[in-house]
Amino acid sequence: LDAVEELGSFLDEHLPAFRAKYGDSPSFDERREWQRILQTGLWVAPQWDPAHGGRGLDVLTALACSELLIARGAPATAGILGVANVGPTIAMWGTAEQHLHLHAILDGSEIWCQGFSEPGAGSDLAGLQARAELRGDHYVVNGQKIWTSDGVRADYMQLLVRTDPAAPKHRGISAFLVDLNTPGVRRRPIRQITGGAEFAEVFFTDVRVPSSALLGPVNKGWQVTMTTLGHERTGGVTHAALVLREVEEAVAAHRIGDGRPGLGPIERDELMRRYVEGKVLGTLGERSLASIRATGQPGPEQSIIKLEASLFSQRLAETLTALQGHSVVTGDDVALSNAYLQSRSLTIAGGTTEVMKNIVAQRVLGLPR
Amino acid sequence: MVGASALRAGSPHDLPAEANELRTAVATLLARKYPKTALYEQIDRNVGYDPETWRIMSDQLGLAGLMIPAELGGQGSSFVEASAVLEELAYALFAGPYLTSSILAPAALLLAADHAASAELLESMAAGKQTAAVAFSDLKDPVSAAAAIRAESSGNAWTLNGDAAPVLDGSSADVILVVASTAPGLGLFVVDPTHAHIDLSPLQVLDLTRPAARLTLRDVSARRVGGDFSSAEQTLLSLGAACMAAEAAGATRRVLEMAVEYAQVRRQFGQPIGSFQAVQHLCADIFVSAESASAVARHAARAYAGPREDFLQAASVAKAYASDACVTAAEKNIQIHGGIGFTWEHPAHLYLRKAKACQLLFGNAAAHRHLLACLTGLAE
Repeated sequence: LDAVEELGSFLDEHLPAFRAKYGDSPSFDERREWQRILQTGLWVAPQWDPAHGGRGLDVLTALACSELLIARGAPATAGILGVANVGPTIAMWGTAEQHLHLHAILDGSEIWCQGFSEPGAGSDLAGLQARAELRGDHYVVNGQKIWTSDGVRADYMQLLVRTDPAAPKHRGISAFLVDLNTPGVRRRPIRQITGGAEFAEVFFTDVRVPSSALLGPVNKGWQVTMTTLGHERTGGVTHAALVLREVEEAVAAHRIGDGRPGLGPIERDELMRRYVEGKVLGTLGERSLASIRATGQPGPEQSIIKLEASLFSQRLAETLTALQGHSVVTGDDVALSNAYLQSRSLTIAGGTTEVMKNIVAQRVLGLPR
Repeated sequence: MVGASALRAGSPHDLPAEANELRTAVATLLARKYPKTALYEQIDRNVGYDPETWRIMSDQLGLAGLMIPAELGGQGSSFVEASAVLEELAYALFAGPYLTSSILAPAALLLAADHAASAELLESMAAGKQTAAVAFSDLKDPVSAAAAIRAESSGNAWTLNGDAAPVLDGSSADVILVVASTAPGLGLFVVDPTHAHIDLSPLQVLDLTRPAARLTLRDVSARRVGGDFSSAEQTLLSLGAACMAAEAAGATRRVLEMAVEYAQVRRQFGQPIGSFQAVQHLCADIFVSAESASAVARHAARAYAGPREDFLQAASVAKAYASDACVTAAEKNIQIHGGIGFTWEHPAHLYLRKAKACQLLFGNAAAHRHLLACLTGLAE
């Protein structure tokens, strides 16, 4: 595990200085700066091909690296969607020219978003209606996207549009890489229940997109997107580790001692329920890791982690507000009340819990559609 | 799609190869020797288990001495293998004396760390000549406590008085290991159940595949094994809790299969009921519980087989999760089956009975959460 040790000394060198300058809860621009620093050591996506700015690490070593980053409490990077989703898709389907985006995605100089959901296409994503029409050497895009995370601050979008309205719905979709500063693109932040605005509506009115921006074959946009949505093989393991860490921090904060009297029996039982849930996720992560080790792929536990992590995180937020009491109500603890409000999105974003249960029942258990 | 056959096999990747081989052998043997008719016959005759099937499993697969060291004639396997077998036995609803005589009693004797006093008995158990059961101080509380049975000594001779219930497999065991209060602490004692002053009354049991008895001792002479058994009893109670989690996980894997199979064939409103989202969601919930329960049960088994530092914690996590999740899964299975699931002839209730027994024995979920609060420094 030489790579992990190397990352360890990289963090020793850079993390304390970053913390001293920006504190423990850096802003988006500060996280962008952290991402730039991290990429000077090629640590943003070490599992990527060296030609694209990675280190070509195997999946398990890369996982050990992300676990170290979590354990050290390193800030999250800024361009999360680009690194986790869009980048791997471009690497798999992109042309040599499109591959040039990959370095910029890693060092944070390009922030990417994904233009998927529409007002009429949420859980039923393949029902999307935004369209692109070929006019000579370019396409003209019209339509609307919504719930686009990072939609306001992103520079680029991986856009899904209908290019063949006559084809069955999954077969008439194409993927484009779109510069959001193109004329005709209008963005409006959506204020969410926390009061913040991290996602947006994006409107396209006669937007000219060059044909060279097509990602993968025309009308294959559904496959292009789906092959990489499940691309993060270790995503379940990392997700499970993050939730477990959050639970363990909550438990540590309520230990008896240093003048803390300890929780009452009901609150304690509540917190221990969350602890058990966190540990369940952790062991499912271990199983997922064992599957990857044995077969190169996670097993069905991956879908369980996705399903359970969102529910468990939501319950953890509920429990933490219950333990805090009044200060959540009176605004003395805005971070916690916002975390609670924010947690409501966990069972909606990226596939609602209900749709994910359908998928498990149909694809894993083999029940009829 | 994973499909029914992969669900039947259960996730193999968090078990070592030996454990997977052994559990496959157990499953194959049970599928041949222990059909549903044999299960119901055993229940109707109220015999607890079929000694012939157990003898075959013991002879062919070495289950009697699975955890007994090789130098005493056993297999010297770890609790990882033993727990994987427990999953398979619960899947097929075969109990036999395996939990008590192959896991808990040998573990008790090994934890007492008194080779001279236990080698002969362990050898006899490994050879399948004798079975043993353990009488604990309290099967409700997961924390070691003063025992209801008192031990008094005069010179080297010990005399036991008191009663304990439930003693799992108490009526069929050839030897009873009794955890009794000494002054001070606890001790482990070997008693012969044919002794004139011992009464073992069979109890009516919820889990129809696992008999239990009330043990009453009046001035019964006993042989002590090892010294103070207090911390050993705590480990043993947590081992029992980990066993309950493994059984509940194995049973829930079968519950999942039953639910999915039935949802695929039962038709209402002109279509399989498994095409309705409400039913799909119940099946997905059972799947989540089955996978999660076996993951935590195997984690606890690894912790016992390893340096044991985190074992109490891992066992309580497994028990706290599996206790309630597996009962809910068995309940949902009955709901999916509708009227037929409420009948005696359909085995759905046998799994609910087992899950419920696993939930309540060796400390319920709340008791284990309290133990976890103590272990993590949230309570004293």
